[in-house]
Amino acid sequence: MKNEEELIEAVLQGDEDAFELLLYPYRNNMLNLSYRMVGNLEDAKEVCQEAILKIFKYMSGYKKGKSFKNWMYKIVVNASNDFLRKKRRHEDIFMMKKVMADNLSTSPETQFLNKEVREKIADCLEDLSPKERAVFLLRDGEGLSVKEASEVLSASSMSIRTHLSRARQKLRGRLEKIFPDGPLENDL
Amino acid sequence: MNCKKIRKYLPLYIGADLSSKKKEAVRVHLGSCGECQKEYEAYARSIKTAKEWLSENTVTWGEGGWRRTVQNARAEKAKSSSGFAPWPFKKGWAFAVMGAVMVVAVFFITRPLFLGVEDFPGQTILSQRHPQHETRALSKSPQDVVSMTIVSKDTGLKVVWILNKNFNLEENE
Ligand SMILES: [Zn+2]
Repeated sequence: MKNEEELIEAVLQGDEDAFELLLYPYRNNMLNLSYRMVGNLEDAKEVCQEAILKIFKYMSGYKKGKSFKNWMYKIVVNASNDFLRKKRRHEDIFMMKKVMADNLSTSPETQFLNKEVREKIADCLEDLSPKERAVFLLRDGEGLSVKEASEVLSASSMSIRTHLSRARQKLRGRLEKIFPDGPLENDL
Repeated sequence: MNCKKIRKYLPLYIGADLSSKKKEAVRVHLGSCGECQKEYEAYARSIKTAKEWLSENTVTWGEGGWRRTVQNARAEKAKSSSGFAPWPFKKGWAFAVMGAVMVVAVFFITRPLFLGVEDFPGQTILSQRHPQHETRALSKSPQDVVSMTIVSKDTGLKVVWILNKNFNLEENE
């Protein structure tokens, strides 16, 4: 079994099977990020396919020694944004709430929040701009540092902080509107 | 720091995303200001909820779906690279060709300016209208040294430009 570095080397040498092995451990990170960016599972899969194609094509642009995972995030975010831009031209999007209610696979042992709360939080992501959403998902969802997020999104740390701050403010505002009496505590 | 400023920092403070200096200032303020402390707790609660939502609402690939998606991407790539070069190189070539075309176009458009007067009648009229601009060759062969004298109509100031192809800073006589 080759490690990540060896797999990357193999891919750069043109080994297409190594490519599949390289991406495999990150497949669900990819899917989750794109899913939350575009708000629909079918679309997310399409975005992933586009992202995989881009990773495959531009693998030579990956700088050795840097985090491959973060490089992959960058491509997934860009592919998601491209998708949203294209789609916005045709219709309005975001049926996150409906989608979340429809086809979520949550493991029962981690179901802290009740269904109603879950749907409403999904609603909140809608309020964020794509940039705010991406920053929030990378920082609070994937646990990247501000610096890492700034690399992934090709933005300054200051811009990341501004968007992160705005995203958290909006989320808090939405959550408090949904639960004006503060039942959030009971759900945690 | 006043409450207004502290509130501005709270969204970043809850995620430990402030510089250590600001973080300390917020921490000290929260210890002495009940209102801001309440604000902080409200923020912390909602972000905790959102984070929990993110970690428990995940989607996963089925093996088949994943395999198909990668295979589709591979097929796409094979299709796109069957041209003469992959995309970035194609783009590079396109720019190079466009640049070359522009240089040639500019050359042809400005060509009359470089040609002799007899090739371009407009040039004659131009130089007749400005007799104070006079070009003449100096001592050596005309290709090596060109001098240009410009005389101002108003002040009579004379500026002589001498362009010497063989000019050398070291052996200047
Ligand atoms: Zn205060």
